[in-house]
Amino acid sequence: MLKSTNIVNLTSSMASHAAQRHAVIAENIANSDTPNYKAKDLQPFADVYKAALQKGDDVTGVEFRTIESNMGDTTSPNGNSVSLEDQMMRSAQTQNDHAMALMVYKKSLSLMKMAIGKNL
Amino acid sequence: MDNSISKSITAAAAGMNVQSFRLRVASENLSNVDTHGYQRKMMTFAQEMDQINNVNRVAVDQVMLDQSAGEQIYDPSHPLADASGFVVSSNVDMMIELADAREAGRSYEANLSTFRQATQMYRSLIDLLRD
Repeated sequence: MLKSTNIVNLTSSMASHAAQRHAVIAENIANSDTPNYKAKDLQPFADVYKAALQKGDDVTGVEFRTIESNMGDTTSPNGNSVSLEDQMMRSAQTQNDHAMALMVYKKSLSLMKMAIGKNL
Repeated sequence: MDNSISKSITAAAAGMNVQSFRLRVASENLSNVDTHGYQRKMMTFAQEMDQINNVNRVAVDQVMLDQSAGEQIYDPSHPLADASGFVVSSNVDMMIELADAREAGRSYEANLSTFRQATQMYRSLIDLLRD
């Protein structure tokens, strides 16, 4: 049984992380030919969640920091470090994370509705 | 959340815009490959801050002319021939332009796919409200 609404907050935060990460990746892809552009990423959700748990905080409303992507070895002669294939892979992963977060959110709400006796 | 998705959409749309401009420059160069005296156009990318959506988007920085000299062809009968009978052909290299056009197309597709993903993510959010 769900003890609290934590799971709803968690999934909503995860969906928010996926959407923010997608925005960072979209920026990388748009700048895939800009000289001296360095690929960026968002810090992994798992890290943020772990840090919040250790501090005893809720993950809701936590700011996700943008970090430099760990693809430093593919810098092209014009100083651009975006690998299109890698970014495509990351954006697909992000879309899946977003879909999964929304699905868990939906299912949690269904469980709650079931618990309060609403016919589904 | 929706704000991040609109950021993705804005960034991808700006990327598509710049890549289609790049394709336009490449095709202008290609179509003028036989125009005597034509100087090849080049463009550079830069980042600009979109104040409305608070997103760093890509934009066309500047368009400039390639100053390298074109090949000199001896053709005294040509109307553009100089006193010694030489005509300067365009400095367009077809191979470079084709490679550039192909790269622009590839980047455009990558941006389009990001755009589609963002709209799909937005749609799934709306579906949550619908149920």
